[in-house]
Amino acid sequence: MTANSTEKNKSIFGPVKNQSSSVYALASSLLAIALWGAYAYYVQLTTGLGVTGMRAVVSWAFYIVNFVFFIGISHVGALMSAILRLTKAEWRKPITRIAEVVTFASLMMAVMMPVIDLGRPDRLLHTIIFARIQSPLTWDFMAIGTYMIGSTIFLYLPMIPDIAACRDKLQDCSKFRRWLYRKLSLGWNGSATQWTHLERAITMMSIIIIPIAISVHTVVSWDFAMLFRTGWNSTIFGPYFVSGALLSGVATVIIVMALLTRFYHLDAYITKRHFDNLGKLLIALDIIVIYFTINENLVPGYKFFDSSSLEGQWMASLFWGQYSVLFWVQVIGGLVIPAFLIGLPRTRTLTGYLVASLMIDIGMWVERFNIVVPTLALPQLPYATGSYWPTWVEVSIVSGTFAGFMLIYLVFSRLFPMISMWETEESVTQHAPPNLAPSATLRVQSGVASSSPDMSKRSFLRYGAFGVMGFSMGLAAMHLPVAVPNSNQDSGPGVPLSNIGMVVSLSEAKSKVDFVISKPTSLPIGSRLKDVRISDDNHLVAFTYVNPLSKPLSLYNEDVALVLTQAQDSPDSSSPAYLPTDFSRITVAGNTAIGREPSISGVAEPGQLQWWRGGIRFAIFSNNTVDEMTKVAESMEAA
Amino acid sequence: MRRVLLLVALFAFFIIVQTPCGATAKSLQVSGSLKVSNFGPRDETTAVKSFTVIVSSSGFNGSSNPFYLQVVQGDQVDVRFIYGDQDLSFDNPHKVLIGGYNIVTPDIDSQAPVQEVKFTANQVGSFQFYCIIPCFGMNNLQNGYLVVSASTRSAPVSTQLSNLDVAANGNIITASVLLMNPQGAPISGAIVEFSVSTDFGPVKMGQNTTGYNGVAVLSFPLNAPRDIFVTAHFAGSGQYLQSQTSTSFSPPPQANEPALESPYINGQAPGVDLRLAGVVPFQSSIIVSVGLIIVLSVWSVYALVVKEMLTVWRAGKQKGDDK
Amino acid sequence: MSSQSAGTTGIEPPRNFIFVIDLDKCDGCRKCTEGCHAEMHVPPAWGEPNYEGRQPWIQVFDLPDGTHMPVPCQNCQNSPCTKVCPVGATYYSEDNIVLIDQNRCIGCRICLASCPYERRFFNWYDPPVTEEEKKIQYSPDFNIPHRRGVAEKCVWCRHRTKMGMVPACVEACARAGMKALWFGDEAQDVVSNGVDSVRLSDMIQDRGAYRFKDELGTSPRVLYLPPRGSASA
Repeated sequence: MTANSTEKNKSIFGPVKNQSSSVYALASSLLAIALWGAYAYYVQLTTGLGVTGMRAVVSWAFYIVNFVFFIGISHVGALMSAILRLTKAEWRKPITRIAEVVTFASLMMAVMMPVIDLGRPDRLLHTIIFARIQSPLTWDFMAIGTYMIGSTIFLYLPMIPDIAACRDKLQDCSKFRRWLYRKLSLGWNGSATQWTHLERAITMMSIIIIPIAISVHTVVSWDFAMLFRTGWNSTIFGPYFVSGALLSGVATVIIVMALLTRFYHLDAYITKRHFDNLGKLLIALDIIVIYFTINENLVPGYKFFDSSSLEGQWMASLFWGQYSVLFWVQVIGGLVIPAFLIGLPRTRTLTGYLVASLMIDIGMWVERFNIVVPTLALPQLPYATGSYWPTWVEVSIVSGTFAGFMLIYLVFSRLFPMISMWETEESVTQHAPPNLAPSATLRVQSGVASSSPDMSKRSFLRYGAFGVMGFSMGLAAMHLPVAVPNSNQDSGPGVPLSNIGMVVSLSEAKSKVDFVISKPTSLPIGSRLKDVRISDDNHLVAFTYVNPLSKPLSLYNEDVALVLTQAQDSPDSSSPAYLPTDFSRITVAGNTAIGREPSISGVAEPGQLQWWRGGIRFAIFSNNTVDEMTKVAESMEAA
Repeated sequence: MRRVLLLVALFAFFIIVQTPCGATAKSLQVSGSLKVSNFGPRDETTAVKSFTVIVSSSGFNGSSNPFYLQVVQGDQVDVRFIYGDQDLSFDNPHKVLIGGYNIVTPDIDSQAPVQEVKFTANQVGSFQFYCIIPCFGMNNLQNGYLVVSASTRSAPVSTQLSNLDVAANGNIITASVLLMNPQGAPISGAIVEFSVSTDFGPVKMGQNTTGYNGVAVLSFPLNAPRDIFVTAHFAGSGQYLQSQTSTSFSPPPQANEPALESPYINGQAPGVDLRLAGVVPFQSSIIVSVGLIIVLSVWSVYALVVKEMLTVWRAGKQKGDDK
Repeated sequence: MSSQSAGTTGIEPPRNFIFVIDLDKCDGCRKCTEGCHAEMHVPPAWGEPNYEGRQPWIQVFDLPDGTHMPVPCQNCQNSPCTKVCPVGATYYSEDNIVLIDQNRCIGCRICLASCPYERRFFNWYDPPVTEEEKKIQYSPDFNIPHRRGVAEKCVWCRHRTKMGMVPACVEACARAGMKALWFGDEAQDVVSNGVDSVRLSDMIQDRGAYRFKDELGTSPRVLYLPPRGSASA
């Protein structure tokens, strides 16, 4: 073993062997975010999906967006490992495992999302027991399940020799880890038989995993394309989604690679050449996605520009309407600017790659949002556009999945070596590794921060962690609580309050009418006297009340919640012999009365209570129940 | 004569019960050119009776006292409600409900000041009509009464429908019936309606006039061959009472039609679990089988891979494992 | 009202329920929605701004030309919702009404996304259940008591229609004096509004009946009769 090789071994095994306090700190903070997401899910489980911002019109939102995003990222394992392996691209060897773990971790998170979105997750097994073959969701489960198993196998197979190396070399780690390495290495001893069979298995998996990966995201895209919605009724959803998936996957790998290279000092293996190659891949995929975006938007835009049809409204909402900010952020910030960042030699630095990849990832998440929500918000019937704002539950759960993704990655990278040793040994001697950054040097101390002049740990934190954290915090800042029916809206068309009479003071009213005015002493909570009105002929006095806690009367065009009238009537007037519809007979303090409950929906008809006493007819109109109005009435009689 | 006295007594009773104290029959009359009802001589023949009522915040026709519309059973009643609150500075919509007949007018307001209701006064009795939406002066609009008195025409003659024959020719059903008076003589020129029973009640299939022999015939198609009741109904006229007869009928099964394949037997649905209704129809079975073949081949590749892994594992065990 | 005879064979023809809505007569009073809400104890809409209060299983729209259009579940014969349900929780009954088995529904809401008429709803929270509702035995025909986390829709009051009564909305419309909603059986050529029964073929003759969003090919079972004097849609 040369000294070089020892150093390299240390850099590969360093993170596996030594766990520093900063690792634990990072792990705990990620775990905290993930647990907060779990708590948010618990709230959702006990209260119902109503704690999210989704309602009947926009019935899929953050969870499905997150689901599609994570499935998208998960394609990179198939792309990098399988495709590059089959095309025998040598430069892929150090980074295959990084890509495969991205697939593994993101699939873990992706599979949780539809379950979180279910209204009845206790009936999850129904999707297996009662599965309907014709449903796109069944294809989803089948494809994702197959892909999960396939990618786990595909991740595991090339790891066997490295786990065996861990088992052999790391004798002084904990008992659990030694047991883990022993079990997982399947008795590997590097014999020829074992190598033959392993290579054969890996080749078989490489071949089969590619069509599986493509079909998985195609099938996920068919969740949308198989439905009748404007914006989803597109035939190119399959390739559109797959290309977007590959793009976001490669961008994620670049981000992870940059973080790992810096913190785990894998400069010997992961060189600028890898970044350049990945960058070329990235820009190629970026252009493909731009091409698909143009197809998806220019074609309907030409046909339906300024049209009053649903497609026209969809185009309008995306281009300059409700979702225009998000759309242009996605297109310009997520697709166009990164292409320039990578394309121009001046910005083709490590920082440039990192920034471009972050922008692409964020842009791709926003793109998934722009696919799901604006289409659902389109009114299919003659009413207003739907709207959606995420709530703290959705933001927490989504942030929790991002934290979970990073946590899985962290744990994995601490348990197993992230560079495929046996593959890299074959090719590492072929070329001397150029330096990653101009003044970076090889340091073999594990867990200690290195501070190269232009790329310090802090700047990585700034770009990397803040990028993702800031995104989720921005979303958290945007969140609003579940919209409570606003009880103080305009009441809509109604007659003016002056119909009842002119506003006077109470003493003036008392002096004008011929009977004794009764005032209620008990009113529904929150009521406040608005004014006292008297009719032209001085026979009717009315008290009007506002109440922010109760629905306003739709009878009048001002915000009034309760109207109490007292009118002079003939001396022996009483309730009519025949009751009007929906009215029932009751008594108020011994006087005959009739009452009706407020109608519950549609055109609102207020509740009423009328009673007669001593030639005076009293009436209450409000949206309170008859019981509540009776309390008011009896408080007047008691006086 | 006795009947006349009985009716006078009835009206007196209604007045005493409904009128507030102090009101007399005289105060119910409203002067002017309005055509309103009063307690004058009754109209004995069935006719069209038109009324105009002003609805305002002071009451029906300007008063909150009980207000009566008087008709005879069988009359075609036509009431025009006119908005009377134009002098108010605000719009005061009214909506009148006639109880018993359950007729509701549309809103009577300054936009639509005239609203008309038409109906046949079939039910005898006293029915209250009143304003049902909160309006200024609502308390004055609670005392309208529609009084329908029994007709005093000479009793019409009873009739009888008989010999209701129903035959089927293909899916055309022909029904014929004979209308007779109590002496057995056929009644010609009478309109007989034929209706057929359905789940949602009897449906009138058509009507025809009886010929000189008193027989009315009607042919109509029966869409879904099923056991039915066919009913013939004579609505009656001035001199004849109504009569009705019905019979059950089972259309014979069609020779060239396949046997009925209905899921219902005697009204009971079968106990099949229809949630499997999504089971693959033949057309998509090809696609589904192709899909399943693909999935199975993928899983078989996994099985091969697992086989290779087992070989690796066994090779490791043989070479001296240290478990 | 039902005068179903038990004939010699006892076999009855398959029913093919149909809903006829006369736009000439609807005045937008929304009594149909109220009747539905009362009959089915419809759960709330929980703040969806386009629905007032409760889920509008039948919703009346005020169109710009002054017509009012009630839209219940269209009971498509080629429905997108039954196509995409992953567990077969939404299915056709014997009389071709689309039902939901809320014991099987997993709440994935793909049916909400797939309905082009937006007539499927979801219970986002626990709906309020009164004591009397708790005594009712749940069945897909009469889906009371309602529960959280499953999809809901109008099922044409199947608990009433299979006994020959009209749905609650039709009855409410008739009681309110309009005669805009009619329900019946195409096989027996009858529609009724709860009070009168007429022949379906008479009702739609010369009226230019059309189906809502017919171009999508969902084959809805609701016929709309355009207002007289207007060009048929």
